Amino acid sequence: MLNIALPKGRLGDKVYRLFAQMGFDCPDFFEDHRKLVLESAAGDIRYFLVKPSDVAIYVEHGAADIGVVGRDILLETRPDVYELLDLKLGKCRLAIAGPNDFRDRPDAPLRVATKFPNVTRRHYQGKNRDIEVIKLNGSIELAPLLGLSDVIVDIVETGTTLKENNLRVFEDIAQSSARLIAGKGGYKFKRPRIDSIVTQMTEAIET
Amino acid sequence: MQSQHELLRPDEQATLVLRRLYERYGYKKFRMNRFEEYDFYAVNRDFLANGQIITFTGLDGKLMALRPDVTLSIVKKTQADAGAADRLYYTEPVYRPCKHASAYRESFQVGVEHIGEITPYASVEVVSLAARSLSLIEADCVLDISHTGYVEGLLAGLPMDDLTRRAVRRCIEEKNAHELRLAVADTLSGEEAARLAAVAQLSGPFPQALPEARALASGEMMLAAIAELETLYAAMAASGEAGPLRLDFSITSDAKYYSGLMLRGYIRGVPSAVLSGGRYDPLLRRMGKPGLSAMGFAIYFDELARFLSAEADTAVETVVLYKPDADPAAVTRMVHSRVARGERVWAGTALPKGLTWSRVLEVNGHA
Repeated sequence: MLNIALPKGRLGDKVYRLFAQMGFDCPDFFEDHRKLVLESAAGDIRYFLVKPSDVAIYVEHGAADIGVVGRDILLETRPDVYELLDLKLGKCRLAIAGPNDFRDRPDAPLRVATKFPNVTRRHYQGKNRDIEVIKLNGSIELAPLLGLSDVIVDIVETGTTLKENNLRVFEDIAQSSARLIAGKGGYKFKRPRIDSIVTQMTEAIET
Repeated sequence: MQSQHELLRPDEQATLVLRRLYERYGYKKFRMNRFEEYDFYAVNRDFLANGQIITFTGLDGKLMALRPDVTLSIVKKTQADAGAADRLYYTEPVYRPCKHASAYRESFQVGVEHIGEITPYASVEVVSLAARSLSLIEADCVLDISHTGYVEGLLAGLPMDDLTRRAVRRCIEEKNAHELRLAVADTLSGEEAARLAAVAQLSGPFPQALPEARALASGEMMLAAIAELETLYAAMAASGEAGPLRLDFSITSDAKYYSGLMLRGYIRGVPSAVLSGGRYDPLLRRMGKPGLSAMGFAIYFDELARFLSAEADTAVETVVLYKPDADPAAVTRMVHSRVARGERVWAGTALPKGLTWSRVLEVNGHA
């Protein structure tokens, strides 16, 4: 039995379709999302649908053998896992954005609102820039509009939300997309199975 | 009746079995203080898995530390020289931040250190002890082997700045071939990038992985590393111990402390490595002991805590019930007689909560 942690939502559905194409389909995957654990028709794969930010936790602790998670989350949490494949789905970028008319004040600490405090600290440490991190859990774009922060570090997909709120991207920090990860302990003992999935997924992505 | 060995907890049984193994191979138990001067760890902070240390002020005003690592203390105290190796093992607590609890924890380590001259046989002996240690804990185990010379030799031959080199090491550690290709896209040719990506993904049983590693090797350092790995595998295979061995270059390490063979051990059912070790000649040089070489490993009992735990034993054979004013001599006689038959006995004035029992005996007679 191979345990797979998938992120709830659109990305999880897309990734599941990839698995289904490879023959690991699960009859009631789209029917009843109240079920937390779903088994493939052949009974050899078990899917867990979890919050996207929790996928790597399930994998690192060995509750799931493999999982799919955005690179943005991996950069933030740096779990001790293997990153085996870029699924090229859910593409976005981690970027610094702020009001269109923002002017930096280098003498004062820069106030940065973000869901990604570790990525933010590392980025500004690399630039030797003093910052104050304001950790938020959602609606990050609101922070500079209300004066809570000077800029934000957040995920940008199309940039529409930023535009509608008179914000713009100043700098990209990293590109992100969905990654297939494996727990180190589990990989040692289920390697042929996991490697075969990686090979099949690589072919499915490329076609 | 339970034997004395059965009375031990699973982790105590494992420790005992490991001690017996190391004693048989001529390793002597090393004992040490739990405190050291803080400065000693501060200068070697990078060697520690996590740089955080519990400190306190000693009676003489010196800043002291609760030992976060055993190897450093052993290296400091060793009297070994090239002609007379120290072959030591330890079963000691260490004090470190717990990865998942955001708190310090006392955890237990069992380990082996061979300090003096590491001959090819000595390398094989340490690897063999690591493999046997894992097998004694759980037969279904894997011992990953790497060699710093292979990856460092590969990187040394490629034109890269330090930042890229660090990114590449991290990608190799994560088996992350796609990010690795991106990291070197501007600096290396397609052929060189493909070779690096192949090394990042290279792992598996030695008979398959070692020829692949040899095919990718070039330059003195890489070829010397391959030769050492081949010698090691040949010796382990000849003694029938190569089963758990896997070649895996994702084990990377700090070159300031490690050079040569590196080990990581896993057992089925535990998500993280339970054994870690390798050759650490540079650490000896940093600590003022040039001319010596050393190799060792540690087994992390904190990672094994759940695997080596047992459910609480709630069963007794006999409950002895007595009245509060019962003659204590009569109760004692009854209890002793049942214990002498090898039974586990619980004596009280009412039936116990949370226990199961086979029989209840009542003591009649007042004091």
